[in-house]
Amino acid sequence: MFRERTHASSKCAVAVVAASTVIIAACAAPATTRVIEVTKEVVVTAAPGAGAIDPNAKFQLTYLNICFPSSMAVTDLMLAAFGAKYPNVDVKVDCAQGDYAEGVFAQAAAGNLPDVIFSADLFTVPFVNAGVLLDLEQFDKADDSFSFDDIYPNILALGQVPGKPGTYMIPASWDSVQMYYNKDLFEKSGAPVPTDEWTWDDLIAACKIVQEKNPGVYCVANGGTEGWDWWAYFIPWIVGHGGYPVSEDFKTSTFSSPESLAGIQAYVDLWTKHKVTIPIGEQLPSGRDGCFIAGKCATYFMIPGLMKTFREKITDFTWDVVQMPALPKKRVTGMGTYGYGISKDSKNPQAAWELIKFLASPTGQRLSLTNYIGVPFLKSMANDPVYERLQPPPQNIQAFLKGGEIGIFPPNGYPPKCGSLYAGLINQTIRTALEESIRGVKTVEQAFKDADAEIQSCLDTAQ
Amino acid sequence: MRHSRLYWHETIQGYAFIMPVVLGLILFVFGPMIASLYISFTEYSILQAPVWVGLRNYVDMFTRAPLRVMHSLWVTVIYAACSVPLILVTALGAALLLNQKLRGMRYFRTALYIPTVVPLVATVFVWGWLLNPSLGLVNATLKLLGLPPGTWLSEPNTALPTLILLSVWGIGGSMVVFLAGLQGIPESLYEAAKIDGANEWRTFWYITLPQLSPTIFFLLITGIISAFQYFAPAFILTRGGPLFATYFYNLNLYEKAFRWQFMGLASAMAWLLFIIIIALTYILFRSSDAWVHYEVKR
Repeated sequence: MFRERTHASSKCAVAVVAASTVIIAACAAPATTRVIEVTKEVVVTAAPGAGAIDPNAKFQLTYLNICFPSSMAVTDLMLAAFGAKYPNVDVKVDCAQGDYAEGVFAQAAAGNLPDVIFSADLFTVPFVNAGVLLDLEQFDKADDSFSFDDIYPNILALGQVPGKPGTYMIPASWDSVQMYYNKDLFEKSGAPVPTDEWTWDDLIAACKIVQEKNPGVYCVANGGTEGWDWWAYFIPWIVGHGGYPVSEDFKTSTFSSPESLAGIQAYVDLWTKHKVTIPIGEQLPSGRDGCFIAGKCATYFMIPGLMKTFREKITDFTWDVVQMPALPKKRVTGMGTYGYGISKDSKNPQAAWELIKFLASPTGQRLSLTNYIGVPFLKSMANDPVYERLQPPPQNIQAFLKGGEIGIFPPNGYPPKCGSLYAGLINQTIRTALEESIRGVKTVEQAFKDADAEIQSCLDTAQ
Repeated sequence: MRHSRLYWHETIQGYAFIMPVVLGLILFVFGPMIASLYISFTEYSILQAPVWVGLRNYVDMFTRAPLRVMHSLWVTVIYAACSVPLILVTALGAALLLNQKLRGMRYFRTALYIPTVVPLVATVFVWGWLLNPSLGLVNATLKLLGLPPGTWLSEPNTALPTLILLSVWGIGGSMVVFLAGLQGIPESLYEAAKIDGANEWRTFWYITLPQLSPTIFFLLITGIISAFQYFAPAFILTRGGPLFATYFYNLNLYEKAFRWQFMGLASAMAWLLFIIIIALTYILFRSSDAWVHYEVKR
C-alpha cells in the first residue's frame, strides 16, 4: 500500500545542517531551485527541552506522509532539525499511495500505524473519532519549550474536534485561502489589477474584461471536476452574506436560511450568470494548478503552500497574491491546512513529538516561510523581520498574514453518522445540491431546501 | 468392508493434495463470506467493535434514499441491460468476420484482441483523454468532419451511454470464445444447408446461432456477472458523476465501506448483489432448456 520514499536520511540531513552556514532568511531560495534552505539555527534551537529521549538511543521512527511538494519540503525541514538533535534515530518516511484515509484506517485496524502520520483538516474529524491520533496537548503541557498558546486559534482549530478535548495536529502553516493572480494578464487586458481592498463585484467586472480579451482563458480557476464543492470555497460565501450552514448546537441544518441561500446563489452565479469560472465537468489537462501555471486561468484561490511551486514553475509572467475579495457583509475566507500528528500505535510518541514540534518552533516557521512553503502561525512572529528579507514573487505575501485573520474553519461538529463537509452524507448532499444548482437542474432554493431536509433527517436521528 | 492399505494410502494422499485448495477456500472465501454476513447485521466502522442492529442495514438499503442504493442498482441494471447485448452482438459480429478464410486474418484477430490484454486502468485513462470534451481527439475529429461535439462523460444524460459504448472496447475475450465456438460447428451442417438451397441469413439463423447457443449462454452469464461488478472505469473517469448518472452499485458499495465507514451497510449491499447475481444465473439456467442446444442431450 505504501511506497518507501527515497529521502535524505537523518544522517544526510545532519550533513546538510552541518555543512550549511548560511544565515537564515538572508536570501530566499531562487525561483528555480528545489533546495530546502536549512541553516545552523536549526541545531541551536531545536527541542531544547527534550529530556525524555536518550540522545544516544538507537531506534527507528516511522513516518507516513502524503508526498506532495510542500509536504515533502516541510518533511525535509523536520528531518533536518530532528536529525541534528538525534543523529542516532533513523526516520523512515513512507509516501502513502491510493486513498489516504482508507490506508490509515486499515493500518489502524491492524494496530501498526507509523509513529508520525500526515493529517489535514479534512481528516481531523474522522481520525479523531476513530481514535487514530493522540492528543498533542499532553506533550505540550510537559514541554517547557513549546506552547500552543502562541498559535493563532483558527489554524489550531483545524486539528481539533468540537466536543472533544485536545489538539490532534500541528499545522504546517497558517494556511488560509487567498487569491493568486496573473498580473500580466490583467494588465495586458486593460483590466484593473486586483488589490487587497477588492470586493467580488470588482473581481467579476475585471474578469469579464480579461475573458473578453483572452478567449480560452478562465478568470477564476474554480470548477471543472474538482474544487467547486470544497467547503473553504463556498462556506465563506454563506458567511459573507450573513448566514451559516448549521446551528451552533449542530441540531438544525440552515443551508436554506435566506442568508445562506443568498450566499450560495451568489456563488453559483459565478458559473450561471457571470460565467467567469471553469464550466462544471470540464477536464483540465493538468488540473487547476496547471491552468494557472500555463497562464490559462487568471486567478487561483489557494493556500500559501503553492508559492514554492509557482516560484519554480512560472517563468513567463508576473504573479502575485491578494486577500480574498470581500463579500457584502464581510471579508471572509476558508482555512485549510495539512499537518502532522502522532498515531495511537506510536512506539516512540515522545520522539515523534520532538520531530513534529519543530514545525511550530520559530525556527521551523521561519524556514517554512523563507522556503515559500508556508506562512508563520505564531502570534509572536506577526512582525518578524524575516518578512522584510523575502524576495518576490509574491510581492504581497502579507496578504496571507492579513488574510489569515479573516479565515474561518469548517463547521465540524456534525454527528459522525452524518459525515461532514468533507465526506459522508453531508458532503454528498451538499455536493449534489451545488451541482444541481450550477447545472440548472434545480434552483438554488429548491436544491438546498432538499439538501437541508436530507441533512436534517440525519441530524434528527443521530442526536 | 475392509479397505486395503493401498486404498487408505491413496485416499490420504488425495486429501493431502486437495487440502491447500480446501483450506484456501475455507480461509479466504467462505470465512470472509460468513464474516461479511455477520457484519451485514451490524453497525461497524472497522475501528470500533461491531454493534448488532438486526435487519436495519437491509431495510435502510431500500428505504433511505440518501444512501442511493436503489439508484445505483438501477444504474447498474441499465448498464447490464445495454452493455451485455451490445458486447455479445459486436463480439459475434467481429468473430463472424474474423472467421472468414482470408489472407492476413491472424493479424486482424490479434489487432482486435489486443485491447483485452492492455491493463484496464491504462485503457480507461486513455479513453478519458480521448473523450475530453474540449481537448479530446474524438471531439476534434467530429469537428473536422463538421459534426457537433459530444459531451460524453461531462453531462448527466450522456455519461452512462458513453460508458456503455466504451464497454465494446473490451469485446476481445468474448470474440475469441465466439471464434472458438464458430470453428467447432461441423462443416457438414453448412454443406447440407447449401445443398438444400439455404441462403446466408437462413444458414446463420438455423445453423450458426443454434450451434453457438451454448457459447452465447456462457458469455451471457459471465457478461451479466461482470456487468453487475462494474467498477473501475466509473471510479477512474467519473467517480459516479455527473449527478450520480454513473453511480454504479459497486462504486456505491466501495464508498459506503471505505469513505463513509459504513461497513455493515456495505456488507449488506454485497449480499444483496450476491443474491441478485445468483437469482439471475438461476433464471438463465432454468430458461436455457428452451433456447440452448447441446449436441449431446444432457
